[in-house]
Order: sequence, then C-alpha cells, then structure tokens
Amino acid sequence: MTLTISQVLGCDVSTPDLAGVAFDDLATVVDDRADEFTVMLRDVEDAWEAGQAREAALRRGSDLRGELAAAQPLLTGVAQALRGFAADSRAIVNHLRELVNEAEGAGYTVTDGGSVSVGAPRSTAASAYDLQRDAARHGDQIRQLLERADALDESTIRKLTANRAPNSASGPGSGAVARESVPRAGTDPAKVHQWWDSLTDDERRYLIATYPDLVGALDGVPVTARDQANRIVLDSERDRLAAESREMDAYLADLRRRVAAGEEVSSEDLSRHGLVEHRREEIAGKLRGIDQILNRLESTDPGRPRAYLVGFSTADDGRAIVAIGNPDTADNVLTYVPGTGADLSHPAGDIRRADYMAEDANRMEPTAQTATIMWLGYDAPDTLPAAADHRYADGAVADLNRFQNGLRATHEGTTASHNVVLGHSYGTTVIGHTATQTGITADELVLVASPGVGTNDASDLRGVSPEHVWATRADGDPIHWAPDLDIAHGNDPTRKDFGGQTFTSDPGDHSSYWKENNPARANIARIVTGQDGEVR
Amino acid sequence: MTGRLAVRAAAFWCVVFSLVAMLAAGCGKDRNMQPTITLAEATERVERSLRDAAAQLPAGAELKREGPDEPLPCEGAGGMDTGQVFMERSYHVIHPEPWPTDQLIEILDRYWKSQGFRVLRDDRGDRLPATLVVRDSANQVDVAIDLYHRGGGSIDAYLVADSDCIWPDGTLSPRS
Repeated sequence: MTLTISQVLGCDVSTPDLAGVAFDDLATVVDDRADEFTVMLRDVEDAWEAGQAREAALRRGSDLRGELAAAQPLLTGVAQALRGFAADSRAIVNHLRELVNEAEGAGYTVTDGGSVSVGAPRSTAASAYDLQRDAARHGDQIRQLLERADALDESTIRKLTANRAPNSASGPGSGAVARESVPRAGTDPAKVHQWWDSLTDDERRYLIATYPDLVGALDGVPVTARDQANRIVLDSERDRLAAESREMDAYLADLRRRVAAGEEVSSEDLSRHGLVEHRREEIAGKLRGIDQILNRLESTDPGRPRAYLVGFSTADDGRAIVAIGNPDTADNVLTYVPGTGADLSHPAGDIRRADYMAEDANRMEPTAQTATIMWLGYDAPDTLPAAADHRYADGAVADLNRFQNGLRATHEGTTASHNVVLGHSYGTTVIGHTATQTGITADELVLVASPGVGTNDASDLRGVSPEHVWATRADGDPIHWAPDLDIAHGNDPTRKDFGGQTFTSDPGDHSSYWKENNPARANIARIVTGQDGEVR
Repeated sequence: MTGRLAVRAAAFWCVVFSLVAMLAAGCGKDRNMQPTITLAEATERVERSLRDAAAQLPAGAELKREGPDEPLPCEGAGGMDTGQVFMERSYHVIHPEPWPTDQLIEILDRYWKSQGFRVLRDDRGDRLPATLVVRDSANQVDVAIDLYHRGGGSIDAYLVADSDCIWPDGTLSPRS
C-alpha cells in the first residue's frame, strides 16, 4: 500500500474532473472539425473536376479526416478515465473522512498509514480487549479504503494507457477485426463480455471506430466502450437525418413554387407531399431528441456526474439509454424505465429524472457511488388508449432482461453492485412482464404509479423476492381512475394481497413523485442505496 | 383466457383507458390550460425563496449550488407529457466549524411561520434526512431544509425549493 490518509483526503477531485470535462469538450470540437472536413472535401470534389493532383488531394484529405475521426473516441476515453477517477475518488474521500472522524470521535489514535490504536487510557465501561478489537475494526475499514484508493490509481493508469493512438509501427489496419467475429445482437451478455475481454486494446479501438453500431448495441460490452461507439452513431445519425430533412425541405419548397406559379402538379406529387410532410415531422422530432441527449452528454458542469450514452438508435420510434455516472464502477445502479408517451423526440424530462435520482442517492449516501440509467430501450405506447395493450411490454421483455444481465457482466471489481429497476406508469408493466416471463437480474424493483404489472402476486416476479418489490401510488394520481379489476395489466401492486412492500408518497398528480417535497423521492433514494429499513 | 375473451378484455380496457384520458383531460382542463408564470419567473421565485431562507441562517455560511439545473416534466393522465415543467433548485449549506447546523430547522421553522407559510411536512425527527417542507402560497413555491446526519456527528445541510407546474413560456405552446 502506498497511499496515506493525508494523501487521499488531500486529493482535490475537482482537478481531474475539470480535466475530464476539457477532454470531452475537445472530443466534441474534433468531431465538429471532422464534419467540416467532410463538407470541405465534398466541395473540393465538386469544384476540381479531374487530374492526378485532384485524386492525390482527395486521398490525403480523406486520410486526414480519418485521423480526426479516429481521435474522437480516444479523447472520449481519456475524459471517461479522468471523470471516472474523480467520481470514484469523491466517494472514497467522503467515506475515509467519515471513518477517520468516527475513529477519532471514539477516542482512538489514527496514524497517517491507517493504523488505529486505543492510545491513552480512558474512563470507559468497555474492557481493554473490546477497545482493542473495536480499534482494529476501524483500522481494517480504513486500510480497505486505502487499498481501494490504490486500486483506483492503477485502474485509471490502465484506462488512460488504453486510449492512446494506434501503434504506428504495426502499420495501418493494425487491430483489424472481421465484422463477422462480432457477436450477434441478442447474444448472452456474459459471452459477449468474455469475447470483449479476449481482444487487444488495438482491436477494441478498431471495432469502436469501424462498427460503432454493432459495439454500441451489445449488452456485455463495457459501458465506456458503448459510450464511445454510441456517440459516433448519434453523430452520424444526426448528420444523416439533417441531410434528409434538407432534401425534403428543398422538395417541398420546389412543390410550393410550382403550385404558386400555376404549373401542373401530378397526383403522384400530391400524394408524396403528405408522406414527405409526415416524414419531415418525424425527423424533426428525432433531431430534437438528439439535441436534448447531446445537451446532457456535453454538459460541462464538473459538479454533475458524467453522462454515458449506453444505447442509441433512430430505428422505428427510436431508442436511447443514457447513464448518469458509470454503472460499471458504481456501488448502486438504478435502471429507470419510463412509461406511456416516452420516445426519442423528447427524452430530456426522463433523463432529468435520472439525474435527480442520482443526485438524491449520492446525497443520501455520499460514501458510495450511485449511477442511474434512463432506459428507453423499448417502444413505449404513444397514447393512453394504447397503454391498455400489453404487447408494448412484451416487446421489451428480452431487451430489458438482457440489459440487466449485461450490467452484471460488465461491472468492475469483486463486489456486485446493488441493482434496482424502477418503472413509472407503463414502465412498471414492462418490468412486471420481464420479471414474470424471463426473470430479471435486480436486487430491488420499484413500481411507481403502476397500472398493473401483469400479475397479481409479487412472488410471480422472478429474480426478486417480494420483500424487495416496492410500490407506491399517490392519492390524486389519475392512475387511480383505472378500475382495479383483474384484467389487462392486473391489480394495483400497492394492494396488500399483492404481497410486496409499499412506500409513502404525498398526494399529487402523475408526475408529483419527483417533487422535492414528496417523501417518495427520499424513499426511492433509500431503496437505491440499500437502506430498506429506513423506507417509510 | 380464450382468444375471443382476450380480444374483448383488451377492447374493454382500451375503452376504459380512453375514458380515463378524456376524464383527466376534462377535469384538469381549467388548471392545465390556464396561463402560468414563465420558467424564468418560476426560477426567480425559487431562487428568491432560497435567498430569503439563507438570510436567516447564522453568520458564516455560504451556499453552493448542487444538482441538476434543468426543469423536470409535469405529466398528465397516464404519463402523457403535457409540456408543463417545474423548476427545482438546491444548495448545499457550506459552513465553518463549529456551526449550529442542528438548530437550522428550528430557526427556519420560526421564520417561515412568521411569513405565513404552511407546513407541508415536518420530519425533523428523521436522520436521513431530517426535513421541514413549507408552502409559500403567494409565490407558488415549496421550500425545504434537509439535514443529513453523517457518521462522526457531522451534518450536511441543504436548502431546496420547487416551483409549481408551469408552461415554460407562460402559455400552452408547441414544444420547443
């Protein structure tokens, strides 16, 4: 052990945090420049018609653009390592300070190396043996924490080293991996993780840069790598959708001009007009959602945990999985499943709920680190009548099950994290169907404002015992107006005969659970941080 | 359940959910469609409530902004996004040692009562956290003091305030 108490307590975690923010900023700038380079190359291609010099210039330009694009995930990786170090250090410093205060408050002598002794004789009823045993217990706890600080130092060095430029001596294409060797979507996350562990750093970098859509979607790949990959996917999807939107704008402008000029417009044009308008609206929604996600990903406030893009797709209604803090290194992990109306066009509100729940938990238990995840990994019902249909929940079962298994597979360290899955409204139905059909890898389930979970018995929820299934419904929440009949999604899980636990929430509407004055928020934070006995 | 029965149940449930949606929309019409203060005004009121509370604290304390900075969504029936939001602001009370952290609830209780604020929740007997929440009806703000009792006898104090649900622009408008 090399680190001492004074070294750990003297660690100013804001410095690596700020440096990490700077690297995230740099990654954004480099990515923007790479995009500008692409446009510039296109202009050169259009303006310079022929000749060997043109070909050489385009080739060189393309190489340079490739180098810029390849730098982005490396810079993101450095940002992850620095901000992860800051977040882990913050919890260690808080815990160490508390342990030292406790030991000194009990009258023991604490050395800088972490030893705790009884010291001078004191007037106490406890025997000398008991005092020595208690001092040794304090000393063990402090030493374990100093060892954790040492391990964090070493793992941060490894992470920083892994994000270096490819070894130029190995030549271009070093680390190349065949696309076919990437596990197929839906593969058991434990197997995916074994495969990822078997790769070299060069191979991982190659995969992230070359097949970001495959890597970003694979449960079992570490969150940091998925974040690097999905940021690339999000960026290219934003460019693609923006280009499509511009094309449609041009088409519609031309159509309007022709109508205004009295030119003949075919029936084909008229029917296409409706489709184009619809598609343009859909794209506008997705671009708005992408901007909202970027707004959180690019937050430069070092006081807030770093956000990780764990999943992203614009297919169908779109999917987004955003983590607040790194679940792979956190002590507690909350997966939040939103309900009816959630989609890619407006994820900001659900991301903020994840943000607030992370803040609540870290405030409740500052000696541990909590990460929260907004899991919009399913197609949620768009309307309230559609929420009567269980098929949306059934469609989410395999994905939520695999995602939770992936969290277990990729978690770092020897101690498993305390994993909680919380659903709001229809999100609780998704959790219920997952738990009853495939089981769910979680330590606690939290059902907020549930219309029913597909079963009337908490013991049907496989993977979590009924004493760790929590439910709440606020008086005044319109969810009460849905009749509590045993059809569709089943009964209200706050009923006594459901067999789970309940917790208090103040009267309010369907979103009031997240108001500061609502005891539901503190109760959720207690469950997330494993303080079940304190839940009211 | 037979296929036909399942279809009937789904149809019945769909009708029920539609009725709930209509009822919720109708009952909440007055409240939900009325103009409100804007997000900027709500933020200012929340900040003012916190500044007023902080001014009552014993000398030597400073407030440090913590937590997210963006408003949270208010939802209608069944979780549908209404476009309304509420603003929350939170400050960590940083103070010298020794400092009478354990007396903050009593101090603010007296002050808030003198302002005519209504007590919404008084959980001062709890430790994680000890809480007092009051309602400032005139400004439509709930304000709270939270005390987290840590190991070794230290206490972390936070001042937190929430606005009511409002339209960001003051009126119903397309989502920006």
